[in-house]
Amino acid sequence: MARVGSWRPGLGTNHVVRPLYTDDDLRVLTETAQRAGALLAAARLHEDEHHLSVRLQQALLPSELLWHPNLVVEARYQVGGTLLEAGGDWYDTFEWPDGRLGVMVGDVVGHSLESVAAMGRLRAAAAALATCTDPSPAALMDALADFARGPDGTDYATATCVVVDPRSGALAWTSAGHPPVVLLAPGGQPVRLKGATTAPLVAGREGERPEGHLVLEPGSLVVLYSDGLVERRRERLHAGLLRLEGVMEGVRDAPIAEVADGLIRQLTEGSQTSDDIVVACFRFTPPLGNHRITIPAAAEQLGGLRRDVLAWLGEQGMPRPRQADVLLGLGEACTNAIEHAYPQQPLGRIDVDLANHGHHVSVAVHDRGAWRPSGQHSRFGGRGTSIMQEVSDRFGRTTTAAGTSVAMTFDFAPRERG
Amino acid sequence: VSERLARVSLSRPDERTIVATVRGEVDASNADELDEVLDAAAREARRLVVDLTSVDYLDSHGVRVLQHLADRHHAGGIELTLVARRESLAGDLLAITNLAAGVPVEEPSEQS
Repeated sequence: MARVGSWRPGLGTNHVVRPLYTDDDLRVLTETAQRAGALLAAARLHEDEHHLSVRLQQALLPSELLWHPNLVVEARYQVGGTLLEAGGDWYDTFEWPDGRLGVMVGDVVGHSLESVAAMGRLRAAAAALATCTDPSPAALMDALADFARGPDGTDYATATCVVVDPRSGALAWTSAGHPPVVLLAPGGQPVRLKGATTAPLVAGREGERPEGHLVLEPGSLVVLYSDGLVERRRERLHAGLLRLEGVMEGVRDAPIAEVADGLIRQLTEGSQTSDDIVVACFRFTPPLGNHRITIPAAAEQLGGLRRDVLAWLGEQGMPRPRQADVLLGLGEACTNAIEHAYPQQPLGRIDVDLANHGHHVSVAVHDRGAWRPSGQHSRFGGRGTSIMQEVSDRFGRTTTAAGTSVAMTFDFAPRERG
Repeated sequence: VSERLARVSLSRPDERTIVATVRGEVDASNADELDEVLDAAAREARRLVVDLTSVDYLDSHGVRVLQHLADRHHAGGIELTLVARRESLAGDLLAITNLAAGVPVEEPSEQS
């Protein structure tokens, strides 16, 4: 919708039957103009509110998602197509000390600044509550429901949460009035995760919150979403779920980022989407093969390391351009370890862990050194980091007292080049 | 004893130009050496062409060497030209690190 300019009551009319306006005409026209002006000003306020909602919504969603090489998560938010339809949907990821990852999607009902603000409160509360609850979706949902009933809560919200152990694929789920999580195992049919659903978050609490359990097959795709993805006016939810499942089967082998994009694109194509949409999806990709290399932390080792890694990548069938990306990312990570972790220690060692996860290769580089602050000792540490971020599909770095670990993933599919 | 990862051959097609052809791999182990060779070449000619077409590997240390030359190019000390295929590791890296901005990068001619 085009933006409405500020309105001045005036006489912009094509009504030219009579050459002159009577006083009555003028009075009516002026009154009409004033009313129209007031309406348009209100519309503009609504539109301003819409823009503000969208910006606020985006600011309140997480800026990054947690991931594990065995569990790569992608999420998307798409604002509703029409005026005043922003607000209320959220997604988030959590991590527990035992390594389990949680993924949550929720929906505060309503399309206003208030619903966006309530979404922000619930999302922040869930993230905080995850740090002090057990790695159980029911425990987290119970805590979130208590919060939602309180003074900082909201009238009506639904949410669903899954907690996955990225090593075993053990998955637990629960739903508070939210449409079902859909699971697609390789070679299988889509399965809706039911049997652990309660009323929406703030509705009455009855007994113990249910939790469903299963173990994911390697390669399984899991999709969480808000109802905007599947609901159409004058259509039953079941039809939308069937459509979602059909699209999931079409993108089952695509890189996970393309799954997220494809679900939104294909499910909103050609339809007048009025609701906002979130999608959060992940694939369970335990390693099919591992390769560990330990090298002394010395620049002279890098050439030999590259030959070793190149041979392994070739065996895995990684396409050539991606092999080059892995070498470059790995080279930067190792060079950083040599220069930052062990600047004066010729006896330091670097462990390189490579794993083929089917859809991607993961690379982890560990050192046991004490990093010096970047920028002080190397002008170019920043450049190495930006190269790693650019050539990999995911990049993370953790520094503890025990040393630094860099983790990257590289999809088999080609990277988009800028 | 480490094998030599990279070799540089220098040619002088005309009085004011030196062409430095880099072959092999450039990383933290040999970037300083490459820096010295190219630095010396840049002092001897007005125009320096660094041909990266036959580079198999280049990382941020290699980029740092090229950055030194680019800095001199921007300061007006030399005329620097880089030769790299756009679709190659070197070409990719020049784009990622934004080194290509402000320094002419040519595609290699057919016979090279």
